[in-house]
Amino acid sequence: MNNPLAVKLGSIQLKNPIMPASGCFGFGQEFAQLYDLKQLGAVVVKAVTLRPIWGNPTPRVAETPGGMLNAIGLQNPGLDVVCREKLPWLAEQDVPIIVNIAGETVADYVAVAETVSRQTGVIALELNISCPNVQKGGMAFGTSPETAAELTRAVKAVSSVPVFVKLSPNVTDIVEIAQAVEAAGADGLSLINTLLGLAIDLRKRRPILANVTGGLSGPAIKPVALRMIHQVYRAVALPIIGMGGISSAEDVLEFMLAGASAVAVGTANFVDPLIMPRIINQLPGLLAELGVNSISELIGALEV
Amino acid sequence: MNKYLGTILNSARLTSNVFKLVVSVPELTENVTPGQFCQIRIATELSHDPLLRRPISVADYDPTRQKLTFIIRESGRGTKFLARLVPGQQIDLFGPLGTGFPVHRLVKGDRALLIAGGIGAPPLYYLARQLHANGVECATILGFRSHSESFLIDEFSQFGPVRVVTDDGTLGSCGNVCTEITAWTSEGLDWTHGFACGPLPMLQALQAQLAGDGRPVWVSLEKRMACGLGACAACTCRPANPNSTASGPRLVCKDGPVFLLGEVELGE
Repeated sequence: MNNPLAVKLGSIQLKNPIMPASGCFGFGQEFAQLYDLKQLGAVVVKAVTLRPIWGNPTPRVAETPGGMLNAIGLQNPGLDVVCREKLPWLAEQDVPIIVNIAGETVADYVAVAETVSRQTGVIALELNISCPNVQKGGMAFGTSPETAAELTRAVKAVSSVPVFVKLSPNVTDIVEIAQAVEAAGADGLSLINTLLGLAIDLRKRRPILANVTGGLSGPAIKPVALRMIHQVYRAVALPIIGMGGISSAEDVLEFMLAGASAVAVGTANFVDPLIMPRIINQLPGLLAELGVNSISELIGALEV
Repeated sequence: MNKYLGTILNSARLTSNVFKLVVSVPELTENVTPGQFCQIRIATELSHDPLLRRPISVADYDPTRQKLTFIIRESGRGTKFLARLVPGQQIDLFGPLGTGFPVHRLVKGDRALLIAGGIGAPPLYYLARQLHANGVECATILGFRSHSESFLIDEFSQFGPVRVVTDDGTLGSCGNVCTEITAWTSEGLDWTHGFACGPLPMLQALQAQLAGDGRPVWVSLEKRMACGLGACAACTCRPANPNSTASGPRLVCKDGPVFLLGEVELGE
């Protein structure tokens, strides 16, 4: 019998469309104490940079209406430790790995991409050009079509696996960026990263986050994500991993209708650490209820 | 750790803004170490707001009846939600999480000094109960802003002598936990291991006062966190000695919340 949850992301076959959003799942070890990661369509790991990064001062998170701000600042142990310890462990869990990569310069991204794309179990890279919480690199690469395209070309030239470019919503026209990275050879897109926001402690007259601003995630951003995926799906031919506030099986199908071929669950992992297996278990029943035989029929099937 | 469904057995006010929740968690069979915490879910199936769980330290645990006690200060939207829970209502608990106090480092005959400031007292209560059961002598200093904000004094008194100190002198002596340590020490207080939980300025003052003391002191820290599991890296703190072997970032939720005083930098 055909698996009703199977999807294709370009050349990549996934047994289901559910994966964690980068930064919300570490390198998988913590959640593996709660469930078998093999159940997931893939695991997207926390952003990896050439050298270890401490990240921003704390407080790094603040709750906001229906969501949260974070300004972690890409804290990670660096390429060497990730390749020596984190990825080999994850590969043993028998789950496809997508590595989110970040850097301050094009050369940084290229060096990380060249190495991590050749690690066992890695099926794709997610090019992070949309982190709003670092001084250099991050979102700076994702707000101009030319810069985004140049970086995409450079990473594509060295990567041995497909490259998904994770787009920032903090732009005037996300379609323009999507088209630029498509023309530069990207194999797919991830959208959206967090929306830049500010939370204030009234009594202290200070921002809650030490970094002043942070990235907004959670259910609060879901309509923005759906709108952007819809716009981009209509304008480019690349497969899309959709994310932004997904908290239920229903949300997953809405993202797929808007044009996502797979989805990433982020902040909801903090609310319910078992949410991804729960969604995967609920999807077949929901599809049956909707009279849908295969989840991939829904991709881009929004009627407007 | 795991996700558990609990039923509220009792909710009671201890002061105008501190309340106690006793929760029955029939499926909880794992060990709960003093200093560990649970992430209590606030969001419901019907509402995404407030969204995040609240990390609350365990104030007591009865393993034979699977009863967890939390003592919580009502301070924001999440804790206000918890304050409104009534007996019979169900809550979703994720825990026990984190690294607690090293209860078994102490043996019969050791003398523990417990130092609590305000809402820092609850995790030390569960600690005191276990230490006392293990034959460890417990002396406790409880600091509060004022008489009206004091709680748990009688409960700590079951385990040994208690000194209360208030900012305004309305109960016990007037001062803070540091002045009380000095005063009690001059009257012969003798301890081998220290344990502290309280507001950051209190912990910083303790660190300054006890610098070079040599006796181990463990402190329980608090930091804004999201996952509670060690995955999101929100609650990072820096090791005080960057050259130590574990010089990477330390996480309050996983490596802590209990640290040896001096192990990590005490800051926001």
